[in-house]
Amino acid sequence: MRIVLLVVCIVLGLAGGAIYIFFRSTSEPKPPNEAPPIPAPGSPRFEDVAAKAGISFKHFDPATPQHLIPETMGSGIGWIDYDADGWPDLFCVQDGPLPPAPGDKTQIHRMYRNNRDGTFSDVTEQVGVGVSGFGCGCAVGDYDNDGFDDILVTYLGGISLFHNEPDPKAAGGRRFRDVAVTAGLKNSQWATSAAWGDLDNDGFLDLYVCNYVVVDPVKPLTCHEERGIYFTCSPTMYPHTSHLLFRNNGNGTFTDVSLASGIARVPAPGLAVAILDLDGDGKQDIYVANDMAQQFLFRNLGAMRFEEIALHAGVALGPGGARIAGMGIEAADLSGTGRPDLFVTNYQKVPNVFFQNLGKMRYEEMSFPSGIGGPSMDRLKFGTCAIDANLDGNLDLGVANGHVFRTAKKLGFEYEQPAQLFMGDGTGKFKDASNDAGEGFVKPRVGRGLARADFDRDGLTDLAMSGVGEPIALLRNRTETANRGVTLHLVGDGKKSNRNAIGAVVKVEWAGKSRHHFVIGGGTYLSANDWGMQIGIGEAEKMDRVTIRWPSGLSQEFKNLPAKTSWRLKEGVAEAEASR
Amino acid sequence: MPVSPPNAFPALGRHRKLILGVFVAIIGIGALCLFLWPSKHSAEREEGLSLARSGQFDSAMPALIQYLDQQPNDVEVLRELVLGMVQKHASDVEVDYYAQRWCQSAPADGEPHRVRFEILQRLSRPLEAIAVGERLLVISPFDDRARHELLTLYYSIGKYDDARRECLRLQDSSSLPAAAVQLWLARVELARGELRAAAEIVDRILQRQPDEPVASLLRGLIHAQAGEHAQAVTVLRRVRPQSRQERVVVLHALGTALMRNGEEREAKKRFQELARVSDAELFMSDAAHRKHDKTYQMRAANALFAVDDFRDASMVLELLHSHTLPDRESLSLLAKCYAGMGRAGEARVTQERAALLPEPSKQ
Repeated sequence: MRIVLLVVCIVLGLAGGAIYIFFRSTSEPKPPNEAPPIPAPGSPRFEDVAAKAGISFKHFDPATPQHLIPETMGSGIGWIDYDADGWPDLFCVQDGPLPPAPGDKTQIHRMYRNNRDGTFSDVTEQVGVGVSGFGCGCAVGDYDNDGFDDILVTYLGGISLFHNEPDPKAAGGRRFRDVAVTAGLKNSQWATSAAWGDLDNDGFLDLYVCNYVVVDPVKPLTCHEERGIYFTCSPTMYPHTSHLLFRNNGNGTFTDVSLASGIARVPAPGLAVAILDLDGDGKQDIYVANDMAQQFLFRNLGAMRFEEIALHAGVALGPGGARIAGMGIEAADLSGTGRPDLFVTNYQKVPNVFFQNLGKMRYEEMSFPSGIGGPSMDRLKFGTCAIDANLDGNLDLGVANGHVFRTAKKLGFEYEQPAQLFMGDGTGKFKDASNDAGEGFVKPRVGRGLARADFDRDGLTDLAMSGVGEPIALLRNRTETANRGVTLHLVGDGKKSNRNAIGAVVKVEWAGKSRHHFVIGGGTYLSANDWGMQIGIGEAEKMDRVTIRWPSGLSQEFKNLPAKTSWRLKEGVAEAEASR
Repeated sequence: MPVSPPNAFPALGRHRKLILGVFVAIIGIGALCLFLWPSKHSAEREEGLSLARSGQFDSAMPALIQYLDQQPNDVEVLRELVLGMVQKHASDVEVDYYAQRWCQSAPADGEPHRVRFEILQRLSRPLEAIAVGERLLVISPFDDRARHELLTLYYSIGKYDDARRECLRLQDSSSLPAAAVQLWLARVELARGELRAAAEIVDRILQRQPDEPVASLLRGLIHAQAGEHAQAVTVLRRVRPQSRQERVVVLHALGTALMRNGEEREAKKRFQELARVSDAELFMSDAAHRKHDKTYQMRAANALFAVDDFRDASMVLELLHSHTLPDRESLSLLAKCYAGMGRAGEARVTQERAALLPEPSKQ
């Protein structure tokens, strides 16, 4: 008995010593508490509610040991009110394994229908978008002016045009059918972002498709540094290809006018495109973000002909004439001049680029002086949206971030990076408010697409963010503020103006202040924003006047629109229609 | 008569001695472990430090790292490890892991902060570098070199007011050339939009040194920013850039000024040259990622040659020839590079070697 007890004593003694040593050896300094800070009252606050809202989509991560370039790009998201019930639904683009496996139906796009109570239902199968393929981006627009938005999806080698059609049995009474072939849309290249816009002012939306680089699936290009750490090769190492422009024939078909229009003259690795009237001449121009090449600005000469003038306009290059790794675009009046400025997201170690519009197609590069360049240097930036996060009347900028190298950590960077929120003062100056903007802007992600919508119709703009191999983040805007806003939905007449009113310019006036807003085609990265515009008016109780210049050229005024209301403003109809 | 409380655990009472024995054994053996463990590790520590200090860092490194697994905050070991890794040109990412711990363990010591400040700059992580640099200047407020680096970092991320503050503090520095500080102040004033202040500084420098390249470039940029495009063109045409990066800045500014001055034809030429210089820069970087791929090496060499950067073009080709057999095409290009650099003899010999090789296949 005594021997047994002695052995027990020794074992316990050893255990005691070992436990002590274990705890001592693991008592390294802990990283600082990384719990998101509690936002100050009144400051913007975003919370990821995707899981609670029933958005279960997870992007497929097509990682390969070779670190191929398609696996880094992610896929987009699109807000689309496909059933026209006034509540934005969410379309999620899916990619797939590399090399693409035809016939594999495990990875498909998904559609989430808004249940109007802050939640969504997966209606993918019912509405017919459960299609597989290496999906990249999407563009939402009503190309046939039938009052229902359609979806253009881009792929690594192709495009689909999902036409929105009636189907009483489907959720929301609508169903999509891919009509790309019959519509005459063909593209064998790697298409990324696309944008709708009425470029010939005939009332129908034309289509611009960015193509990226030419990859060889049989003999893929690989890159590594001296220690043998692989990373994705630069787009400058691949052959480039031309972009595409399709003219809408007004009968459900399109004609490829890429060459005749002049946009296909120079091949470039395009990643984002925005269509809007940059010089106020009533014709829609095209701005394209190219990756490590000069950016394009196609001035619309009329009759579907374009002249590339980015260098002349001062929007081709970044600070000091450096090439921009153009990823995402936003175009909005960020400096209060009444003209649309341009904002382009960029690679890590270099700043986001902000071009202030001086008028007459001349821009000043103001990335650092605006305050938006410096804080972005240690992020790799992708999707971007202008929103008035706290309804103070000044537009702010959200940016999705995430590196393209899975091996980033070994190379001294972070692969997952928090998104950023830059609060604007309305004069072209910004402050990085990300750390105070709640969990949605603190959690590191491999962010790519970013798209805005007020999905819960509380008057505050929310954001959806996609990421490589990650679930969608649905960043609900939970800002507590005394400020008020007005939501405007513009509806073109579908004859002289396109239904989506892309190209419309909206001047809003309240309490002695005024701002200009622009309905643009495309923008952000691989993604599509909702058409609703949440416009902050500070503590004012109403918007005194809204003046719209429709794409048709018609100018129309609406007066005294009370705040905290969603308004449908229809071209040619004198009275604004309250949506609720 | 006091009454003892009833014993709730009679069995414990019976084995009191045994329990005491167990307790003493636990304490004793535990203490023995504690006594032996550190001495084992301190031997590792001493051995590691001794090897490192005797110049055998490669042998010392595993022992030092192993020791740090147990004693993560040992300042002396962290110092030896980090300095040794830096000296051995270890990956900055790996060094920074320990440099950060060194800074945390010695928060009032300037040395670790200086080392990490340099690492973070090499890693192009300006925001973190600034935080460390600011801390370093709290510890060592008279470190003018660090202050100068900090000001360039502030400038690089657009914190112009901070950069200006550091410039002003450096004006009386004895360890930095006054002209260099003045040029930085001019850059910062220009970036802040204070054109008059920038012009005053630059003009003073140009009075003394009319061909000072940075001052000339800044003068051109000041004119351009002031909308004096004709003057900008005149000044920028004279600037002789000192690097490819500077050449990009000059060409961009000159092209823009020419265009805004209505000289479209020359503007177009300058922009084309700018595109070629940018391509050369990018292609050189691409080539570094495919060192054994002749296609990318030749692409870079040709692009560099096309912008008269004969030195870098020849370096790319020489490196290519160090691990692949030279062919006629690459040798001919190398000969032209040598000729461009004024090395006529080498150019002739290289061209003769090229001529002996077969013509490149037409297919």
